[in-house]
Amino acid sequence: MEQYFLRRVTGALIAVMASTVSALAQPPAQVGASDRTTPVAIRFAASVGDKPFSCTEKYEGIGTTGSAVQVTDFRFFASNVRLVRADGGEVPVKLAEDGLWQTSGIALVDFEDATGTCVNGTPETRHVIEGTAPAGDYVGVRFALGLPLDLNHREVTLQPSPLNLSRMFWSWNAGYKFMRLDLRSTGQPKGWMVHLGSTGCTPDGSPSVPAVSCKNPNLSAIDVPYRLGRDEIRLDLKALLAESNVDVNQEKTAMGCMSGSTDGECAPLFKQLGLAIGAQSAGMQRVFSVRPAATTMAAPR
Amino acid sequence: MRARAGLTALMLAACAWAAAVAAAVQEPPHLHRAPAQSRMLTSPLELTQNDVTAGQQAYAGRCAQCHGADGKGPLLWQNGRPRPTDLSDPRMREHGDGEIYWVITNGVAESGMPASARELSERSRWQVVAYVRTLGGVKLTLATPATGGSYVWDLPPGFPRPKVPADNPMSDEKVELGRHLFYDSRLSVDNTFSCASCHKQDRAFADEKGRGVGVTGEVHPRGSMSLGNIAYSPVLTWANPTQRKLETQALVPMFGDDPVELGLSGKEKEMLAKLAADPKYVELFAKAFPGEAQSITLANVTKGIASFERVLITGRSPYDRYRTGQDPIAMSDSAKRGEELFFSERTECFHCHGGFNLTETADYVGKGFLEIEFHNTGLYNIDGKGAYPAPNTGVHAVSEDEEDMGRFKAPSLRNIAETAPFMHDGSIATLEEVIAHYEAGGRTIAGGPHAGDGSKSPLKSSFVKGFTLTPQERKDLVAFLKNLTDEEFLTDPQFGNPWQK
Repeated sequence: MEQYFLRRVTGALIAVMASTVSALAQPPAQVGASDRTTPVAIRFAASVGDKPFSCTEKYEGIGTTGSAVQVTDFRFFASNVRLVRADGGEVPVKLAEDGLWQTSGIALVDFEDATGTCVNGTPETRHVIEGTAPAGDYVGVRFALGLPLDLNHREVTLQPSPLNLSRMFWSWNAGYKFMRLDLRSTGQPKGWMVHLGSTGCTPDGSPSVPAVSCKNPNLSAIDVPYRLGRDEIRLDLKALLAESNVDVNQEKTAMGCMSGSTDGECAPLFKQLGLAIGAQSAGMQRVFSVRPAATTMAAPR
Repeated sequence: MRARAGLTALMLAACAWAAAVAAAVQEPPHLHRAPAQSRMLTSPLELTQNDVTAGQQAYAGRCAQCHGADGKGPLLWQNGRPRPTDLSDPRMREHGDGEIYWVITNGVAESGMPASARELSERSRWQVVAYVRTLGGVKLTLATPATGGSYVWDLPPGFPRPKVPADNPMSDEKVELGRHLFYDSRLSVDNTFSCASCHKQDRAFADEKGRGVGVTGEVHPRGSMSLGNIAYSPVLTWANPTQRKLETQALVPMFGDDPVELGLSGKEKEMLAKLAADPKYVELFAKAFPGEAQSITLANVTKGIASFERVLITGRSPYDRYRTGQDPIAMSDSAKRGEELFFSERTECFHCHGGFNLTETADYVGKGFLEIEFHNTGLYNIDGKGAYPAPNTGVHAVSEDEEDMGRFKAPSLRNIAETAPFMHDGSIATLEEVIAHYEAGGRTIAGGPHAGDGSKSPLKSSFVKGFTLTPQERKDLVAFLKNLTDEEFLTDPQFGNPWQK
């Protein structure tokens, strides 16, 4: 904690010094903090294979059984967002605080629009993470799929939006769902859910503190090539479910996968997300990929 | 050479300027060293002026030497260590009470701020926190009889004061709001269920089902627990060590997906709109949360419900009347013999179900150490290694620690005869069978998917060692347990449905 603070102070000092030095070195007309940062918009699109995602569609050929599925909810939290320079170095993106989608360095990306089968959703959608970063040439984006521990276990009713969205509460586990993808499939018409979040949580430190530490943080590290202003990150449901049988549910476990480490439905999903679970070790994620942004389409917000 | 000297001078100037700027924008000093979790610590005190005065005295004795009487610290500071935090700095408000408490308790290594865990009691440290707040110009909300803030508990003889979170002090108005919410089916997605659907007063705020049933018909893996004396429970639900506050726990039935109980996930705005449309609630919320322009919030819904739950105090059973000497003949001779058995090393019942609330997991004002216990009672042993049937694996379901397999909270046995069927999953129908389970030192299930000899579970609590009773002794023990029912509690109109006139 102390080191972190020192680093921040040192970082701030260096940044202020650097800007002061450069300000003194440059003609006054160009002086200004805005010269040093650039707005960042990291765009997302959800798809099912090559088809755009929608709450009103039924998608066939999903998973190992080629099931037909309808989606009833689809959102995720991102944190620790960084841009990658050509030399491999990274800079943090300072996320905007908009009072709705982003707060305290975390962002909600929300693909459902409360139409069709997404009955418990919000009409508003969000397909972008916005912020600022030092101006520069960037070739990639990294972020964590989920929330950091210190934000994940606070009193949810007192948190600012989007951390007060009840659909993302994971109250019994004293935290949030990092990703929520709810489905109905041919074989599981009542529901087959993907609720990603930290598990194996126990109180930490003083017994009167309800804070927790979690054996399985289940934060997936996403690292993709990305050109600002030109690309979008595609989250492919079909890829996420590629090795899953969405038509069955292991007896006496949550419907689908709610991140339980012994829930048979979780291993194939975690594999696609690059997450370790049980005996399966972490690997490359196969769910997020990048393509040039659709130029004809106005960027959805 | 000259150019370099010029650059150095420029750099030095820039540094000095930058340091000044950085000093002006830096975060509130020192307290950032408290771990983030410390924010969640909440004061157990219902603050009064006496607490603030006591805090001031403790501060004068232990803190003022470095921080100064006004919190600003000394004019000059030359002992080579970082300057003490300016406690009058308005940015102190950005720190939670818990962070300040943590720093007082643990100190800050290498800064010179000493730990006071030994020198000051827990209560005293919280009082110092309150006083430090006033140094930063914070106006504390104090409980005084004049403002109606000091809640008058209606406690049975010998009962300690329940602890109340500092951010939700008790008031009659909140209790009344909470009672309306508790019995209101508008707190479910289709207006069919309320808290009271599964927590029925005539069942000691549990119900007659072995396992709860929610608004969609989904069956809960576990049975609803009695809410009697829940104010004394430092950990909530059957087996979740992370559930510590009633306010937070209330969100589970409201918004849970696995299982769905009240089915409000994604519907909080609609639910709040339903409440706001009722003039009765506009009045109730305004009275419960005076001074809040927007008082119909989810946080206040949970605060109201929690306040009502905290007054569900039960301690006027025949056993209590007998025990406190109010009525020497309140219990039969048989029940008195049962009491002796219950509190004997022979049966070991009291080890887990002891104390005024008949559970060792109890907390209250004045309790020095918090004790939270979970036990495996040998109810199942599916694989010979102590396994319980999923998803009811106890604390293990939350911690995923194999050692936690089958560990559940020993619930209070108050009103136990009213809450059949028994155990976390309703798998034992009668008190006689429960006693048989403990006599055998664990339950044997002969066949089926749960077959196994619980008495041989390696994870079983050492107190569940088995014993043999005569038929009369069994009757005596049952008679004692039945004398734990507080009839007044089951019918007291102040706990009843306010919507039924």
